[in-house]
Amino acid sequence: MKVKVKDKVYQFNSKMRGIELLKKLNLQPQSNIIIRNGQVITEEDYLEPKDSVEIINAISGG
Amino acid sequence: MKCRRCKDKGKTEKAIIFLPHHNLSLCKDCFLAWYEKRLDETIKKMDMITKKDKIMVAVSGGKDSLALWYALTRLGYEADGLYINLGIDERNYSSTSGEKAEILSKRLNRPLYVIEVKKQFGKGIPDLNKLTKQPACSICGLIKRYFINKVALENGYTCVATGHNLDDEVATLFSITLSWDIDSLIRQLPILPEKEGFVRKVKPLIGFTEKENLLYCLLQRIDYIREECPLSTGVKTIFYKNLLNRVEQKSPGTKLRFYFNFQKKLHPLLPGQIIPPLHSCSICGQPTTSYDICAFCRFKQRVKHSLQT
Ligand SMILES: [Zn+2]
Ligand SMILES: [Zn+2]
Repeated sequence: MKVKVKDKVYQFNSKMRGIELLKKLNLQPQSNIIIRNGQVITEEDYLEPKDSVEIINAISGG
Repeated sequence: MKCRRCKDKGKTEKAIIFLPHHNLSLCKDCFLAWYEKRLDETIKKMDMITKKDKIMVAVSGGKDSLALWYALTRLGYEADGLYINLGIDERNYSSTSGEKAEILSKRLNRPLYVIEVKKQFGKGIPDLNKLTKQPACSICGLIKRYFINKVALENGYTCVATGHNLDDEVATLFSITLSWDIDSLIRQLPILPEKEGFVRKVKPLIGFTEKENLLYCLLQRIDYIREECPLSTGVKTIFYKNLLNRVEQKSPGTKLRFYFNFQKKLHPLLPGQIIPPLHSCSICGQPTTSYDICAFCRFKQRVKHSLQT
């Protein structure tokens, strides 16, 4: 699956839960939203190799 | 994961978010309803604003303040926007964030007041920083505080609402608690009441995490600026926010408890704020604690002086 995080794009080829993907990217679930094929999903949902994923960070320095 | 609210009503809907600190999983519609209801309850419970208030929302183009403006309007509050263009050209930061504020203004069909720092000083924040050697964030804070109060008062607004969220407030509270800065602790309130020459200031989003505000924007299709301010020195703030989110991960609800128990249990024990007597600035007439000229006008003079020499 293609995973977009800010300006970077990562590639993963196995099925996994959102929470596992966040862990792999060293991102916190409290401050990130996972979008799978254009839809917001929870960290418990699964991501398939064919999915297009974007992660949006909520933290700002103010 | 299924939506809890829908389940309670005997329906089955897939959840799009789980909020561990509320032990709540919600679908899109239930999240939006929950968010707006919780906002309205916070406003009413804390006595922040009423439907009779004429509210000015200080919008930055970021997710929090735009979510606030949109949700207040949806709840039937009379809220207009104020955007301060800081004149930061790097990566088109100011023009892009201004556009986001304009887009929402049109969508809500509510006026947006715009103050341009370049028109006021002939220069944007980065050049003012080079010219005066004063830190960019401190100049920005000074200018924002000044115009927010001035524009609100001059146009008959009874209240200013800002987009500070739970994560902002908890990070600030944590930072000042680490140094037991009592004077700053005394000022950590969600409402600053009006006083002579100062409009009331409220922070209606204190009960919401940044993630909840972000989700609200995404679901309502509110376009916001995703980039951080290029001048931002918020590295320490982000460090504290991440740290507190790690605590939150182990013990959900910590951020809410830390903030609201401070308000409920600790703040009443602190001594009252000593408010120095106020005077009118001899140049602009705005209230100031100094005897002659306010901090803003003094800064303006400094800029003028630096340009001449
Ligand atoms: Zn639902
Ligand atoms: Zn003045």
